[in-house]
Amino acid sequence: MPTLKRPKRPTSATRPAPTGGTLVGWRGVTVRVPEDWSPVLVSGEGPSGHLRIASPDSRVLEIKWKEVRGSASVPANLENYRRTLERIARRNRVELTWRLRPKQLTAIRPQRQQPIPYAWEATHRAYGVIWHCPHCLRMVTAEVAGDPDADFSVVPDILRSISDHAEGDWITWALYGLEFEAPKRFQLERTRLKTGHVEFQFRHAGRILWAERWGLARLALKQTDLKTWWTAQWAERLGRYRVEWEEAPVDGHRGLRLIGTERPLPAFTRLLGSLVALQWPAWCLRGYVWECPQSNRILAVTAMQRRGDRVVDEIVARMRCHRDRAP
Amino acid sequence: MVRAWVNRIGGWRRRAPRISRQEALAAIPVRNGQVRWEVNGREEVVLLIPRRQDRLGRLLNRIFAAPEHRQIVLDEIGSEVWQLCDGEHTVDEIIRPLASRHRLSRREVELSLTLYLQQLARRRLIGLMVRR
Repeated sequence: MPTLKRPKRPTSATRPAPTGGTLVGWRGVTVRVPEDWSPVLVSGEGPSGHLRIASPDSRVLEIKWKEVRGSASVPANLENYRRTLERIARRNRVELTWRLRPKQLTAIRPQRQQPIPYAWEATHRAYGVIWHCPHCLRMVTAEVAGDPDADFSVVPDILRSISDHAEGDWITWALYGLEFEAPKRFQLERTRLKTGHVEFQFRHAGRILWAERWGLARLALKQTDLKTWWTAQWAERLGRYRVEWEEAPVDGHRGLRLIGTERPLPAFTRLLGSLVALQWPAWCLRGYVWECPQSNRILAVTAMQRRGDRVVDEIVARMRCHRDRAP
Repeated sequence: MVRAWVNRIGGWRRRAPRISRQEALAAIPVRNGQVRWEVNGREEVVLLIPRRQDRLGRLLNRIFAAPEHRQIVLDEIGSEVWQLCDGEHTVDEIIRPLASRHRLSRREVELSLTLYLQQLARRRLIGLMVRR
């Protein structure tokens, strides 16, 4: 006799992660937050890291991760965190109420990560979850805290959208409107997060990769053209190279491709340096710079690389400079 | 001079009032009534700041035949901000249109606008009305 199976109710963990909002990506950790939330702190080197994203009101999302090799106990880590909170509450003479597995956060993460959702309330209220990823071995604590009367309805979507490691050979980096994927082998060397200018610098085996974005493109290019403007921005670095420019539209925008070869004297000094490091020198400069009118930004991806390297072209092909492009 | 040194040591130092981020966002920038302004042909705001009129100021103005006003031309975004400093918009209400018009993130606008308003306030071109 045929039986009728009642369709399974979707749980939070089986529901797809939300795709709207702003993507923030840092060292393999990505999260989607509401449009007007912005990163206020990024840190981390090697196995640990920290990301703080603030809303225009009092709510703050904090994600902390640490690589734990060997046996990792999620309950023990949560207990440590709880004890720290209790100590702070005692010191400040406030009452702390602690709840495990609040209803709002049931099945928020996949079960293989052994997640434990929690909530606490003192002068602030917070909803969070702690888990250990068996793939990247990161112990992750993610928590949204804010005033007790703040709107916490976005918390499940935010916590569900967190990805703790990059899939494949590419890592997503996304901060303040600069969103791109870089190969895993490139190590982040430096970031410049200034208002109006965001820059990431990576290094791998003598190659250097830069990804940049400038805001207020319309104003910047009001009285000049893209080539003159970008040459002025890069004057210091471009001095070493003989550069050729080509028109190269990127994602339908007007853009430029530059191909540069290092001048003989700087090339010779680089050769000497490379011989010491036992690496073949990266003598070529290749890059793209373009204006995205939709986002009012100027974007550039440039690399100091060896002849024949295609990394810049691959990054630019994967890049998304504005929203309405299909994912 | 002496007063400046004493201030630096900290004896009579008047500390600036501390306000929280929320209070700062709810503050209302108000233009200095002494400062006249106009919009030039390039849609830029030109501020006309009266020169000091105390005895020394008058003497210096006479010696150097200085004009009655000092002019400051604000750039495009500065002009937008100045026009929004009408005593009705809060800092938060200035951030939102700027962010959407120039496609900047809220945080970027908040940081730059705060610095800009601080500069204007330091030059006594605006004051900030804080609700407590």
